[in-house]
Formats: sequence, structure tokens, C-alpha cells
Amino acid sequence: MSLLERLGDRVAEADEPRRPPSPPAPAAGPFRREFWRSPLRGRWLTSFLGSTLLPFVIVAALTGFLSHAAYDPGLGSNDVSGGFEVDLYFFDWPAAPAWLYSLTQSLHLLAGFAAIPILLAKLWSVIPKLFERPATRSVAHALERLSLLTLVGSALFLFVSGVINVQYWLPFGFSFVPAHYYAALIFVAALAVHLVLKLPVVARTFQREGAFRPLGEGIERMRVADAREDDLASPAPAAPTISRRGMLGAVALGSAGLLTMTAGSSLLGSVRGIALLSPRGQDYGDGPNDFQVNKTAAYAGIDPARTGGSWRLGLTGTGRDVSLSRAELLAMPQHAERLPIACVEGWTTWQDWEGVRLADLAALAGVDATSGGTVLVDSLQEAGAFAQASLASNQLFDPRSLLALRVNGADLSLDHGYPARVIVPALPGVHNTKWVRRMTFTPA
Amino acid sequence: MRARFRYEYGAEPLHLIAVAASLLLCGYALLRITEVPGGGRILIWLVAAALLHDLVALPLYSVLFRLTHGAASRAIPDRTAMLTALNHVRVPAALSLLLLVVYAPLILRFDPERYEGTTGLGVDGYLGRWLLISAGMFLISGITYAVRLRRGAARMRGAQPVEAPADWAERRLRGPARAGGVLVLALSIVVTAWVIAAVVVGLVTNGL
Repeated sequence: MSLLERLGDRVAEADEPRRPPSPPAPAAGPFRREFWRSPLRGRWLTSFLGSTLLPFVIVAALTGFLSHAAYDPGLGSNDVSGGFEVDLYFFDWPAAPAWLYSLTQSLHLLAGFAAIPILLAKLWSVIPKLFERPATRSVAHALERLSLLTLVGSALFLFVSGVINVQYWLPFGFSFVPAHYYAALIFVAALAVHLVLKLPVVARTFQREGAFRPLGEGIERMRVADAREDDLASPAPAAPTISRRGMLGAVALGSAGLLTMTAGSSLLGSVRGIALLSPRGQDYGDGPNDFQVNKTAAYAGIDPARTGGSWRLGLTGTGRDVSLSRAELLAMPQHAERLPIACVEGWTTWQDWEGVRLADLAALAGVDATSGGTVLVDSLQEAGAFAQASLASNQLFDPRSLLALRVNGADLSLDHGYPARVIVPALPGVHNTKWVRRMTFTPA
Repeated sequence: MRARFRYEYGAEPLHLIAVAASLLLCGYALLRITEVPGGGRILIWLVAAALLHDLVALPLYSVLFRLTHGAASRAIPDRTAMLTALNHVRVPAALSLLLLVVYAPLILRFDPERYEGTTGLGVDGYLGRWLLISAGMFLISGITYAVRLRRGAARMRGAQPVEAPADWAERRLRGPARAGGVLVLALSIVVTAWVIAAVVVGLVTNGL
């Protein structure tokens, strides 16, 4: 007996009804099993769709929680999820390789978008179960259905909130990060129990019907599952209008299309043209400052007057406070680094930055690499969750971490953070604070 | 004891342990949600997402598919020919609808000011590109359909006895012409329905 089979026996619901069966209530409409007539439905289709969906969902979930870790929620005011009491992260988010966050977050978006058609098809394949009668057979059945509500609700919520967030449509009156984060927690909890309960069923189904064998059946020879043995099959199947493999092929085309468009704005930054419908698929132009802007200066409420000659960078540390003009910063040793801005929304752009090492600024404020320390960076931006961000010691003292003054051989444009912005390898884009006005160093 | 538990509860103890652990963790997450700003709305949308999908979206596209099936059945009596034509319309239509639903905020301009203000880019072009992609998908589908029809006709020609050439000639002429008519009809029904839906959604969201 395999492990899965034994697990299946342990969790399987009792076949015998708990009470003597009462006479069946006359069911109508969708509550009649005969109402659902598609001959495609059955355990094999649902098992196949579920098995295909699972890897995408696992990648999306893992990279999602990694993204939360990349924001260093334990540091300063970085946590925008409303505070999770249990610290799940036992590691500091690394500052190398520079493309790390770009990779994890691109995977998050790719897996998420590609999963959408598969999820929709899978929900379609199990819709008769929503209307099954009796609504609850036992306490076990009732609890399982409650758990399924949390699974379906959180899954749809996650996909919808993620998809509309990257398109800047947030009409629901709650902030995205905590909503997406706690929905993910619910989703993972509900998915885990769903897997414990259903993986044995999937294994049994594949053993009986073959994992891939039904894919070989064209529309003429397609077998219809027996509704007496298969609770997802129709007892009154209509003649098929498409084969299972035809339907799965359409789902795969949908996934491939969404994957391609998402890839256009993320992994394949140089061929953004294929991101035909993805946000930020368009070109900014050819100039040195013509690349993706997370938030324009106007949107962030930056007063251009405060970025002019009167601008000073304030440094606070263990010693005296330091105030530097842009000319004084340009007179310090300048370093050039090619680093990405990798956004939580899935896009990445690599640029050549020039500026002062953060470590040199920390030393000016009396905090050096041997003791280590953290920094809180404040922006001229007055409101918003990312008007300030804290950096960990490994990020602050990485030799590639800069306070950038120039990009691609030109001064930063106002939209890109003039007079000065932070750029740190492998950091979520929005933590690379723009329009920096003060840096507060705290020694370790 | 275990049989008694099974009788009262309806499944093995491990079932209860797994489901209870999951629901308790969900409970914790729900508790934390109530503490963040707008938490009540998050709770509402967690449930509303499932209800809207299961009771509105899914029945809606099922009905849409059933309507196209009915129309095609009436137009083309031969079932095999009808299904080929139908699926060459249904599949690109479904893909086009999928893209419209996923990228609706940009295509239908739900909040262009926010997108433009944030990114410095315009939302112009999304609707046009979506229409072009959809047209491209229908075109590819139409070409593969034509190729299949020709192959089918060629096969039929090989199978027909030499003394009955008029039969296949007639079929070859009538089949594609009819199916093409259905293709165009179904396409215009779908596009019209979407344009109406787009206008309604646009009006509702801009009005709210």
C-alpha cells in the first residue's frame, strides 16, 4: 500500500450515511445532478487540471512569501502588512545576486498569470459539487465545505487583487499589501488541507484511468465517466462538443498567452514589445532617463522647488549631524554600478547608475562596516507607505549600494528621484527611495 | 471508539485534525484582517469573489457557450462539420474574452488618471491592441479551419466512387460557405455582446 493510499484511507469520509437516509427532497435546477450535462466533467479532468495548477500555485505562493521577506518587514517601518506576530523568516534578504528579487518577483507574476485559465477551468469542472444535495452529509462534510469556501474565496481574491493591482485599479477601499498577504495565508492553509484530502483521490484516479491516457481520446472516441462511481461526472451527459484534450489545449493557449505578455514586462526586459496588454508594456523613449517610473514626482506630490539649489541631504548617526549639498555629494568619490529596479508588480529595468556609496555616507555619520548598522531613508515625499524605507546592514554596506545622482551619463530626472535616490542590489524597487532628504544611521 | 467517532463525525480523526488546523489558521488570518484599514471590505470581498464567480461569471459564460452551440446546430445540420466550425469560433472567442477580463482595467480604462499619474504612461492603445490580438486569433483560427476543410474535402474526394463526383463537388461548395456564414454571424454576436458589456462596465465604473 502506498503512502498516498494509506493517507487516503485515513482521511476519507465515511461512506455510510450518519443517519438513516431521509426521503430525498425534490431537487430542482442546478441542485439536480442531471442539470450538469457536460460529458467532459469527471475526476480525471479535475485531477489533471489540479495537478497542472499545483506547480504554478506553489511557485506563486513561495515567491509571494519571499517577496514579503525581501521587504525586511522586521526593520523600521518596512512592514506594511499590518504586523504579523510570528516572524517566519530566519534569514536576512541577501544583497546578491543583484537579479535575485527580479527573478523571484517575475516568477510570482508569471506563475500567477499563467495559472488563471487553469484555475477557471478547474472551478468549472467542479461546479456541480457546489450544488450537491444534501448540502451537508455530516460534520466532516460541513467542515470540508467551509474549508473549500475559504480556498475558493481566497484563491479568486488573490488572483483578482493581484491582477488589478498591477493595472492600478484599486476601487475596493482597502490597501493591497495586507489584503493580498492575509488572503495568501488563508489560501495556503486551505490549500494544504485540500491537498491532504484530495491527493489520494488524484492518485487513485490516475492509477485507474491513466494520468495521460484520456488525452489520447478524440471527440469521437471520448469515454464519459460513470456517474455512479465518479461524483464529478454527469448522470445525463450530453453529446460532447469538444474533446477533453481540445478543452485543455484551449486552456494551455490561454496560459501561454498570459505568460508571454507577462514575460514581456519582466524577464525579457529587452523585448518588452510582446507585453501587448501587460501594464508598462509601452516604451518611454530613447533618452538616458527614459525607463520605467514607479511613481511620477507629480503623483508623489514632490514640490520641484524643494529639489533645487536649496536641497540638502541630512545625515544623522552617532556623531554630529551632517548636511550635504548636491555639489558636495558630487565631489565625493563616485562609483558606477549597473543595477536593476525590480518592481513588486513584476517589471524589471537595468540601468547604469553613478553616485556615492551608502557605506561612505554611513562612515561620514560615524557608522562603519566593522560595527555594521541599519539606515532609515526619508524621502521628500510626505505621504504614502513608501515615503521612507529601512535598509539592513548587508544592504547598507554592500559596495554596490549607491546613493545615485546620475543615470546613464545624465543627471537623474525628477521622476527618477532627482536630486538623489537609493539604489541597492536585489532590493524591491520601491525600497530604492527617491528624492532622498535624510538618512538616519543606527549602529548595530 | 474510532468507529464511534467515525459514525458521529463522518470521517477519520485525521480528517478533523487537518481541517481544524486549517480553519484555525484561517481564523487567525481573518482576525488580523479585521485589524488593518478597510479590513471589513477585505472580508466581504473574500466571500464575494467566490459567490460572484460561482453564481454570476460561470453561469454567464456557460450560457454564452450554450447559445453559440444552439445557433451553430441550427445553421449546420451535419454534427461533425458543425462542431469543427463551432470550436473554431469558440476557442478564439474564449481566449479573447479571457484577455479582456484579465486586462479589463487597462483595456476599458477603469482608472486612466491613476495609471497615467503613477507610471507616466498613457492607457491609449490597450483597447486597440486587444482588438488586434483578437482579430489575429480569429484570423489564425479561420485559416486553420479553411485548411482542415480542404483536407477533409480531399479525403472525401479520395473516398468517393468515381461515378459520383457531383456529390462531393456539391458538398465542398456548400460546406465552407455555410460554415463561413455561421462564423461571421457568431463572431458579430460575440463582438456586439462584448461592446455592449464594455460600455455598461465603463459607464457603471465611471459613474461610481
